[in-house]
Amino acid sequence: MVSIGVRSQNPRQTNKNRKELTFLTKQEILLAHRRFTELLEGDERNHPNPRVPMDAILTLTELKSNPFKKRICQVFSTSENRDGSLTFEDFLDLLSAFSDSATLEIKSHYAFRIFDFDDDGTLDYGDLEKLVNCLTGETADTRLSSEEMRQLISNILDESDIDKDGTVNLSEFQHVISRSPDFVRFVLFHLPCKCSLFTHYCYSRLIFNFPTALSRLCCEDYAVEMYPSLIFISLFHFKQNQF
Amino acid sequence: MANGGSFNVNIYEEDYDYENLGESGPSQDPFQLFKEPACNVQGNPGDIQMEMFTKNSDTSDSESTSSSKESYNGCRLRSLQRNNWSAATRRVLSSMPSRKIGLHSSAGMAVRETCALPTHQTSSRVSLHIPRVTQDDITSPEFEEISTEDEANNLAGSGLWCTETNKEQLVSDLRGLSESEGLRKLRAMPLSLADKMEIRKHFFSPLAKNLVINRNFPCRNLPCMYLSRMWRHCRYAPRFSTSLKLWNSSMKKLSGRYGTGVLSYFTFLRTLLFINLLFFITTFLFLVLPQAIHPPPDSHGESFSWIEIFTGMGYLSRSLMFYGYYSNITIKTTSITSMVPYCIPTAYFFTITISFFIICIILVYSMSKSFGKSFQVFKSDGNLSENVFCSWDFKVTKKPSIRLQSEKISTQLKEQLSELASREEERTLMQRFRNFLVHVAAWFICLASIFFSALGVYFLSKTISKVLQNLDLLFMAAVVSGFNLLLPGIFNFCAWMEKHNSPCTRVYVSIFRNLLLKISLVIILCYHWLGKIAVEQDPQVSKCWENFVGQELYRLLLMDFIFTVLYTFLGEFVWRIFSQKILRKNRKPVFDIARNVLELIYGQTLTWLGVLFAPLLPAVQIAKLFVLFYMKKNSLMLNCQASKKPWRATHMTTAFITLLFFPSFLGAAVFVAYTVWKIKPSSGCGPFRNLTSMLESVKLWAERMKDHHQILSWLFRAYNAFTDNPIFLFMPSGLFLLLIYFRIQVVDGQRRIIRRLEKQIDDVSKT
Repeated sequence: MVSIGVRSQNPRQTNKNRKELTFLTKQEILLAHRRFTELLEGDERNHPNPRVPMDAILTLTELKSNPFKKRICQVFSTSENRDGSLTFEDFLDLLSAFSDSATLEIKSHYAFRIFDFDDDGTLDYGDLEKLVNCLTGETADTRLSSEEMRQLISNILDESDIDKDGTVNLSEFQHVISRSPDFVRFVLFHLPCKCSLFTHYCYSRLIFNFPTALSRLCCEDYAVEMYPSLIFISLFHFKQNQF
Repeated sequence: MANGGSFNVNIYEEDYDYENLGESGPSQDPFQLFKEPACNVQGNPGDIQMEMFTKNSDTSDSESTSSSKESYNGCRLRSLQRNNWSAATRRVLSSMPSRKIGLHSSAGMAVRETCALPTHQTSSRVSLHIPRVTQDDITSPEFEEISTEDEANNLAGSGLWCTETNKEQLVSDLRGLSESEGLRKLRAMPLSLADKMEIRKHFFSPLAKNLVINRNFPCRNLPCMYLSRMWRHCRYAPRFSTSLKLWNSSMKKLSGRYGTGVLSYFTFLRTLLFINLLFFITTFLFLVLPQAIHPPPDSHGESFSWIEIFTGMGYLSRSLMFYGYYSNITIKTTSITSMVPYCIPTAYFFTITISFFIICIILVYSMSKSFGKSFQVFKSDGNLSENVFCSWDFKVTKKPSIRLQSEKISTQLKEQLSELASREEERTLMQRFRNFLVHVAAWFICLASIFFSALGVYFLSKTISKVLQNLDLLFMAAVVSGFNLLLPGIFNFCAWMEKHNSPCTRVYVSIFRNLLLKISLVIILCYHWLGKIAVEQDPQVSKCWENFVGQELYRLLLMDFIFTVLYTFLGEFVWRIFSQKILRKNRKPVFDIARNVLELIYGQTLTWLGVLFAPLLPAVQIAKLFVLFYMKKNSLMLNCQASKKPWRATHMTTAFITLLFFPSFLGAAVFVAYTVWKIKPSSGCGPFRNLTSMLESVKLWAERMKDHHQILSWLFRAYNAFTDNPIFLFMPSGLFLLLIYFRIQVVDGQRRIIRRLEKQIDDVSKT
């Protein structure tokens, strides 16, 4: 089992911290772990804190066709050369910000940073133009003409630029967002919370070490969902021991 | 109040220091100056509120603060002097939506930015060159928490503070809060996970170990541990309830492919299902079950043929389904009921009326909640910026769906831009006249078709006087459903002819026409039942008119369902095959949300109308909705494509719930109330036989009970006093009107504040 991002604490404590500091449930973190390890190359898996390059992240189905995929990677990346590569914790940050239960302030904050293409802290004419082009797609008949673009951006600035400096800053952006009840669409991944996935996880762990794994599982906060899988696994183990 | 004072004083002290450090740049002014007038104007809401109640006009402050040429020192002094805001002021300001968000995020940005400044060794992501935020941004949304967040105010905007000090400050002020509070606030800060974990380590270090140890082993033995963990998991796992919700996963799939408009239809369907379930459970427990346990003596088994499922006659008419089965006895035979006799007529009356009352409350509550979500205090002219910032749906992942979404957004933006452009240009007189004529013609066609269909139903109901057999009974119901199916096609044609400017208007107009059609048909039918059938002795009605009305409604509901199935099959499936194979077009039909929702509302109206005469009708409606969900879902996936027109989901949801409440539920409630109050029940059947009205049964029961139970007699005396004395009607109404007036004034005040703030910012930014 690959351990990613293990610090001085044991993995359980780390996972617990992650669960408390993000908007994800433990199941979602484990599933994210699985998806993340799939993206790693073989030798990278032994690295203590591996970093996945942007091209690998962009192969995820949820991000593959999204017009904002590059910006998303760049915003959540903590690498020093700003190349869009993500560690596991960056990946968790991404999922947390895009999850159902994240607060509006988190979502609007990250939305602002994603839309800020030149990273200068405000949305100026160039940023808005790139944003509209991303939204309307690449085909010629859906793109806005330059005249329409000019008119659109001037209308946007009329509506949202409160201090009339020609740019939309974070507060103004959040003011616009707070007026719109439809902003809940800023949700990306739907990690299915099904018992079967967890059973799979239990099964893969239990092959190796039943007692400690069982105790560790019991001590986590999965008790309610776990009982059916526990029965299944104990039966399986019992059967195995019989041979 | 003291909290407010210290909050204010801190700002200006720190601002002054910040100024002295000489780090003001041009880009930083907007933030600073934006916050500054806000502090000035904070006096004004207090004024406005005070004005309402004490009629003191404190105009000196408002006059001086509205001028933007205020010297910086002057306003600072004034704010220093103004130490106490009233609770009303604070409430008004804190309830403005843009104040609630943006405070923590600015805090996060300040911390991250100051963290990023010295070195790149911290794991912060991007060093933003945003203007450093003044620390009155770093306050909590609720003003009551100001005291604990005062320390955060000292995270001064200067970049000279070192990283560790900043983090320590944040940690120390988090320490003032309880553990869960602190974690919640930390979670909501837009920092990277590594930063958060570091802060958490500091935050938790002395206490954490004790807490963790204490929490981990409250009891030594294993089952106890399991139980405590399970209990904690159940308490703190809100996710569990979402997985229990019906159809959650299919709806997520649908919304991903077709957008939130279609999702609103299915959400509405699910809401109706739950309302019907509630109704059904109530009637089942209190009405159907007692009567089923004690069947009336004169019921006898009859032969059962399958046609009767559709017509509701024969075996069904003498079953629990319809009114005629219920007897007017008081059950005293079983052990429980010999102590507390169960009177069926009273139970019938009270079950129906109390269920209606509960549903009324539920609908009003959901209506107000959904209205509150879509209400904006200061409605701006357009919502282009909202469309641009909020319209991208990140859940959509497949390439063709993304392309479709881009097309939709592009169409929407282009339409809005052209609408704005056309608003500015003048249209010639001839063009306007021609438009007017087209509108008049379209309306004339629609209204004429509605009128003729209503007339047709009226004459049909009058002329069918001979006793009908079997499937002929369905003729009337089929005609009504046929009109409901065909006339919206005519309305669509008229709408296509008219070419409205904005798509919103088109949707509203089509909804209105559909609604008018359904209302007129239902009114004609109700008039026929209550006005004619209940009063005269019709040969086809035999002895029990309530049964007849119940059966009519049951047949209408069934025919509506059958016609919907036919339309889904023919209109969508066959049309798609036809257009693909024969016409060779690649366009699939579009799912018409408004029309489908109105059909749901119509079905629900029939259920509510009929529940008095057929208590098990909600069960039929539940079955129908269940089947409808799967049918519509599969038809959508196979046959339809997502609409290219934009759909404002929240506004339309509000509109649908309002339509469900206002003509549909209220109409049904009025119908039931009128029946119960004025119409004489038939003498041959039902729990209210031999009485002058259904209400009378309650009066008789009250008379009987008064002697036995003290509480009940007191209750009925109170009720009589309540209804006889009009003051008990005027007082609550007066109270409600006062409340409404108060809320209107608050909204008005907020509007004025917003305008003043905008003007302030505008003036200040020009200087």
